[in-house]
Amino acid sequence: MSLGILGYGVYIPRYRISVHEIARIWHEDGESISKGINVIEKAVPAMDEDTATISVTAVQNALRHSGLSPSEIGAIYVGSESHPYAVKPTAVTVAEAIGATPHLTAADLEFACKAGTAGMQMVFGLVAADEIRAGIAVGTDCAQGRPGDALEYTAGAGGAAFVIGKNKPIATLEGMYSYTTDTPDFWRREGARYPSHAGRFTGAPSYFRHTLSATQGLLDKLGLSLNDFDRVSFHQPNGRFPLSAAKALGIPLEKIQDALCVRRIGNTYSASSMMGFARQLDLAKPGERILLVSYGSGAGSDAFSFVVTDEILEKRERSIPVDKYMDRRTELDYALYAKHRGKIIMK
Amino acid sequence: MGVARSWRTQKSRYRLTGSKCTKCGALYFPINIVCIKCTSLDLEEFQFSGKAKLIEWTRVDEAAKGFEHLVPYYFGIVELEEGVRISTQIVDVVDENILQPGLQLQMTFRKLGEGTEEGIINYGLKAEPVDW
Ligand SMILES: [Zn+2]
Repeated sequence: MSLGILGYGVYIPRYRISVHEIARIWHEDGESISKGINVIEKAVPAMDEDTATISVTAVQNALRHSGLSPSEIGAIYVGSESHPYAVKPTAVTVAEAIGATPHLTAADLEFACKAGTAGMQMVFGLVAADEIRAGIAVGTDCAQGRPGDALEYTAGAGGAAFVIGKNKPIATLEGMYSYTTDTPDFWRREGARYPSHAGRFTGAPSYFRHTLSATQGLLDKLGLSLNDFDRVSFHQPNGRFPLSAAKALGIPLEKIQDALCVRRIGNTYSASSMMGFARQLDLAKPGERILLVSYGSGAGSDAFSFVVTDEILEKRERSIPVDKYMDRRTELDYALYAKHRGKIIMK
Repeated sequence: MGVARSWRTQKSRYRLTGSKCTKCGALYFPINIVCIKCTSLDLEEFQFSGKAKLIEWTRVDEAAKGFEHLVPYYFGIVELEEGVRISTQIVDVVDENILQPGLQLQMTFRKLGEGTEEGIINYGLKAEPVDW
C-alpha cells in the first residue's frame, strides 16, 4: 500500500479560437504575438458549459480510469477561479453528479492557478492520515480575459481530475513541497468581471521565483537532482514561461515539451499544470519519475515528485488521453467566441 | 424551474437514475413509483449507462425563454442502450448532416438554461455525438 494517484481524467471543450483571429479584431500582428507567447489557439467552452460541467466530465473520466466506485470517494475538492456561484460550492454538484453523496467531505478552493494542486495536497493528507480511503482533486477553469487585454490570447478552458488513494497507484507520491509569499501580480476584486494584472511584474518576482524555489525546495527535501526526473510539468500561463523556467534549471526541452498543452488549448488556469501532468502520464513508462510544479498568482507554487508504476499499463485502456480532447476541435470566429463567452450583454 | 422542483428532480437530471420493476423488469426514466406494465409498486433505482442512439430530431430556431442564446439548437428523441426512449437536447452538433437515425450518442453534463442573474443554475444531462 503506497500513497499515490489511482486514476486521472481531463476534459477540454471542443471549441477553439486562434491567436490570429483575436489579433485580427484588435489590429495586432497575430504572427508575432503567437510566436511571442508560443500559443496557437485556445479552448473555448460551449454556451452551456461552465466550471461545474467541465469538472463533472473530468471527474467521471478520472473515476472510470481509477476503477473505483463513487461510494469509495471520501473527499472532493474543486480548485478554480471561475466557480459558477459566488456562494454555493461547485464541489457538491460534482459529488452529486457522480453519485458520491452524501458520505463525503467537499469544498471549493481558490488560489489563482494553483487551487487544483492545493486540493491534491489536501486529499493526499486525508488519505495519508487514513481518514478516507480515496478522494478526488480537480482543477478547472473557464478563464476570462478582458477584450483587447494580453490575457485574452491565452485565457482558455479545461479541467483535470486526479483520484488519490493507497491501493495500487499508477504513480506513487515521493514528496511535496510548497513555496508561498504575498506577491500582488494578478488579482480580481469581488464583483469585477475581469482580472487585473501587473504586466511585466508577472514574470521574474512571481512565476519564476516561486516555480524555481518550489522545485529547488522539493529536490533538497527528497535528496534528488533534476537528472533523476524523466518528465516535467510546470504551470503554463503561456508557452514561453515554462520553457524559460526549464532552461533556467537546466532541464532539457525533451523532458518538458510533452506537457505544453497551452500551445493548443491556452492557459487553463487551475487545470494548467495538472493537464500537462496528465499528458505526461499518458506517455509515461513504468519507473519514470515526474516533476509537477504549479504556480498560482498571489503567489505560490506546489511541487510534487511522482514515480510511475506498472499499474499505469493495466489501466491505460480505460483512459481517454489528453490528445483525444486536444484533437477534437471546432474553430470559432471572434463574433461566435464573444457570444460563447457572454461578452455580448443581452440585458 | 423552481428551486424545489429542481432539487426533487435532481437525481434523474444529474445521473440518469431511473427505475426498474423488480417483478417484470420494465425500465423507466425518470424515476417512477408504479410499473405501468404490471402495476407492481415494487420498483428499485436503476442506473442507465448514458450510451444512446438518435431516433429523431428537430432544429429549434425560435427558442423558449431563457434559451435564446443557444439558437439554433437541436432537440431529439434518443433511445438509451437499455431500450428506454427519452427526449433531450443534442449538443455540440457542429454539422447538421451528422444527425441521422442511429447516430451514436452519449449523455453529457451541461447547464440546462442560463436562468436569471440571481437565481439558481440548473444542470442536467444532454446528448452529444460520440464522434471525436
Ligand atoms: Zn412490472
